[in-house]
Amino acid sequence: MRRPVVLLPAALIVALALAACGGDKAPSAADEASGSPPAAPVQLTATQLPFVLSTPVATPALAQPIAAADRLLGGTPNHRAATLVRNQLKAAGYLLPGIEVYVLPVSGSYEELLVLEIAATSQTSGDAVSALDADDSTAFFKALAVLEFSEIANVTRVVFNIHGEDAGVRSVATIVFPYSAVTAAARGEQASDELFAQLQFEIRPEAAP
Amino acid sequence: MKLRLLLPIAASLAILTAGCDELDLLLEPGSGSGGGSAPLSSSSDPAIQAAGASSGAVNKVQKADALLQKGLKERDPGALRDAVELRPQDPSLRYHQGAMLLAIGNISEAQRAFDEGAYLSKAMEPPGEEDTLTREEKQRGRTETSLGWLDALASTKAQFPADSPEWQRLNKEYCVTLKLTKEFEYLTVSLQLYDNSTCK
Repeated sequence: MRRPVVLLPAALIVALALAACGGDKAPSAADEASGSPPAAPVQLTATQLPFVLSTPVATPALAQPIAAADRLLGGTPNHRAATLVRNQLKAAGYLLPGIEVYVLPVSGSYEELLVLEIAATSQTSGDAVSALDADDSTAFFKALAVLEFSEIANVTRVVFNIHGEDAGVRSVATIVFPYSAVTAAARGEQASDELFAQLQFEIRPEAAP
Repeated sequence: MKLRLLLPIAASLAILTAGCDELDLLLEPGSGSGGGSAPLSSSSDPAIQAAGASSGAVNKVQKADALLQKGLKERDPGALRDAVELRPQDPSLRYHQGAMLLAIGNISEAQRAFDEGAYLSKAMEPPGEEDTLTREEKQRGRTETSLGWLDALASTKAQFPADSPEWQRLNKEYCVTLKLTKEFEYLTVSLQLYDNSTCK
């Protein structure tokens, strides 16, 4: 009478061990005797799971060396924020041929750059530069400042990249302002000398496209 | 190097912001009192370094975007692969590559492209003390992944007729992803931008 008491825990251990090992065993005689077909193995494949539920892993393709500059601004451009600024510039009459707008995230931070690319080699872009050099630039700054309290972007710097060419030499001038200085200028709260003191710039040759 | 043309153009923007009195200051790089002309790439501030690299980055963004549009319009995974090679750190391009591969039924490669994009989205999260991060900051990578994947599925889906198996495959993944993404309450505003009319 004591035998079942001894065997039951042993059977349980065997069952648990089988389950832990994946239950990868041949159909038992009891299964065959019952007449029921063996259960099909359940496989979770990519077609059954939404992709967003997978766990991201690094692949060899991601281990390739990459230039620091490419890594720094390698993230996805913020197209929605750029469109918002573009629309504001257009409404203010400043979105002229030769001016393009981008919002680029800085990798490893929560900062974004508002980048204005200005081509200064054609007549139309010359008009753009002239327009930017207007007496009253408040509307221009107001357009740039539209992202100040935006939930879709965290712009901390405004960058002007001005591309020019002289005697076959292509160059780019990069001018950087803190975004806070631009938003202050939009509100008329920034004195010109204070604004200028925060400017950083560099001019360098540019590789042919 | 001749910069006669370029300097006045750069100066014109400075005039825009600082007034003509400051023109001489700009034309003499390095003489600025507060600003300066030291190479931006040598700055210790990553945002300033990034500003210095932004012109080249924009150039690659433009080329990659042209390849992306070609890949979508011509349903060409090869063009999307080229875009990824041009900007290998951009998760969005991986998501678009994955969506196109999903559309044509190459599930395993689609999953791989998606996983790489998700990994990059996560990797871009800045380091920080967990206690000091907001909820949005903690979830940034996941948010980028969900919204980036939804964007890619939507734009890829639009390239196929609604009765095609490609469209059906993408729409199924789109709707499931949208439903899962709605679980993040703080994304409510962003999700209003996503069309759910094709989801039951």
